[in-house]
Amino acid sequence: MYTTHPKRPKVRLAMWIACWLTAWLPAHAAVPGAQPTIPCGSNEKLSICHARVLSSDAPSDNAERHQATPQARVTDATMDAADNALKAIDLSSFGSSVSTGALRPFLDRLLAGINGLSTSEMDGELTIAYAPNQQFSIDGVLHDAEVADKLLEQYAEADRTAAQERLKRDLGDLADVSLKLTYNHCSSTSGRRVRDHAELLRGLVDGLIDPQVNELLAGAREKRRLALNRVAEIFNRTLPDGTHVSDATWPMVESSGDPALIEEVRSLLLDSDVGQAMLDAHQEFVRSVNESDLRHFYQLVANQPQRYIEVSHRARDPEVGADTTTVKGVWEIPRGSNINGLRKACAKTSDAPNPAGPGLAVNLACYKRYIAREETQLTLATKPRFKIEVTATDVAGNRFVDTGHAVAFETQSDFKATLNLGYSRVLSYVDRPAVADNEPEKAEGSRLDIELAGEYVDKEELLQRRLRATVSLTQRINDDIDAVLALVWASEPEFLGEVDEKLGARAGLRFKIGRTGEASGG
Amino acid sequence: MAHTAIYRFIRGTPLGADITITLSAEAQGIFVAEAWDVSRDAIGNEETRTAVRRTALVPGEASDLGPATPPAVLVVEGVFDQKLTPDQDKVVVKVGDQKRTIPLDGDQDDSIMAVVFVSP
Repeated sequence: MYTTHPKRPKVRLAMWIACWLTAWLPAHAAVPGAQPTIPCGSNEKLSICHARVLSSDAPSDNAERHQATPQARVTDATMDAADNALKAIDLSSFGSSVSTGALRPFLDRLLAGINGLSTSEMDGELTIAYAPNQQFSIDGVLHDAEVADKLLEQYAEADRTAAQERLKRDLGDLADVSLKLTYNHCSSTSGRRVRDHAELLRGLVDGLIDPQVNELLAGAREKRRLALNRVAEIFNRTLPDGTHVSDATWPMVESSGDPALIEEVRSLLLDSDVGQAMLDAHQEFVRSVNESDLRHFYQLVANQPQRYIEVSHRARDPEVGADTTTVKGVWEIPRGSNINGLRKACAKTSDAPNPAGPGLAVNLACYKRYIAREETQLTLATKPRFKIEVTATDVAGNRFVDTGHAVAFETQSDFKATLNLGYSRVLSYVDRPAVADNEPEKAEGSRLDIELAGEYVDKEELLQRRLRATVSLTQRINDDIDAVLALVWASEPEFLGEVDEKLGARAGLRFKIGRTGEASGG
Repeated sequence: MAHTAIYRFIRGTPLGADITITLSAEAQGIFVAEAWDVSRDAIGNEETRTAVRRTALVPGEASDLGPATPPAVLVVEGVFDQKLTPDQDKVVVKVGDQKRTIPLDGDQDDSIMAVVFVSP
């Protein structure tokens, strides 16, 4: 028999996030420039907008235009339809087994109007993610709750299966919930968000496509311009007035107009010399981009310093497991060339005013010189970086006690704080097979990771400070499997294994499962 | 390379409607957008004036191409640094109140051209 203490207050945040945001956020609570998935009115509350969206499965293009109308258009009938839709959801199944099958379509439609909000489901876990911008995100996860093995071990083996079924049935709706908040600091000198370098990128691309810079490109573009203008004129004349052509495909165009005119369009776009000039212009653009080294711009952005903080909490029923709170701060400091270095180098050596404006004196010629430098090439090839990571974890666990006539639990608290100093770099690359006519891609062949960690552990029966150093060599075997060899030194030998008192060695394989999962064995 | 471009059409655009083009935040590569106005004389046959507006697209940033004078042609083209999925590589073209989302999955190449015809 199992006796439970009064249940602790549970963090039912995943659902609350959705409810709270639905009730309070304006429909366009979003990043400037981002496009909403569903067009709600600018002052329309999400609750109203969602009600309207729930009343229609796939808005037509005409409907799309009507959706810009004020909320006065939301009639009682649509509200009734929304009520019926809500009643149709079997929330009773949203319980111990996290039966998200019925919930998922509802959530998808409910949350679709909030920019940056998304849901995903994998292996019985439902994740609700809200990322209003690339700096801040909230992830709530409803886990598939399972009864803790340590609790089941308190039962006689013959009774274990029945106890597991009974206990699982009695688990609360949200018996295993986690919430994570992440803040990633972004500015023009820190963080890896391209939009923070928008003016720089625009200035460089303007230099690339300036007709005065590339006469050939300009000539080809002129021919293409004439061809496309002619096609626009034909379409304008061919399609009947009042016909709304939205997202037309080529066959739709062919069947909707005068065959002779359509044939002219086809020849302009595809077959004629002018049509060929259109393709040539595009190929000129592709060639000029490739020759400009501008494709390395994103690598320079990816090599910017980065700082982020994660705070996560996992709340579980006592029958399921421990409550865990983790706070993590990370500071990555790449070595070598990056956007900061580009700005600094080209501000000093700029040989021409830049149209991007003052303070952004980076022109294409200087950019190309910067990319061609030996140091930059080495950085792009090896991606060296230092990392400082501070983590604090508090685990409020449960120890199950057989009192003779019942199983009870006692709460115990463990605390662990870690300071990690790390360095990593790529050692070699391998060629991936080419896809279609593309160039073969480079993939990391081997990499080196060095980590020095100081740990403070405060458990019920243990209070310890220890140091640990790890050197890992990872060798790629194929896209899904890596071989890992690691040497570990620790000041407290009981954590190492068998090799030596203070030195341990580990070898193993790391393989990816699916696209996101990862597991290891050794 | 028989068909390298993706074509879309936006009709019913009023004179002077603003054009905004947004490249998805996940896209990586060098992309540009250009717009041409096509104006004709009173009898509607002779092309008398064109204007070109051009801008580089930055992932996650809305680019303003100014007011459209339909009929107009928009061209979006780019070279991918890293080819993602059509859900991630896309442009959203907004002309006035109308909006079209164009997945950039036109071919197996690492470059793309999308053409949007805008007409009254």
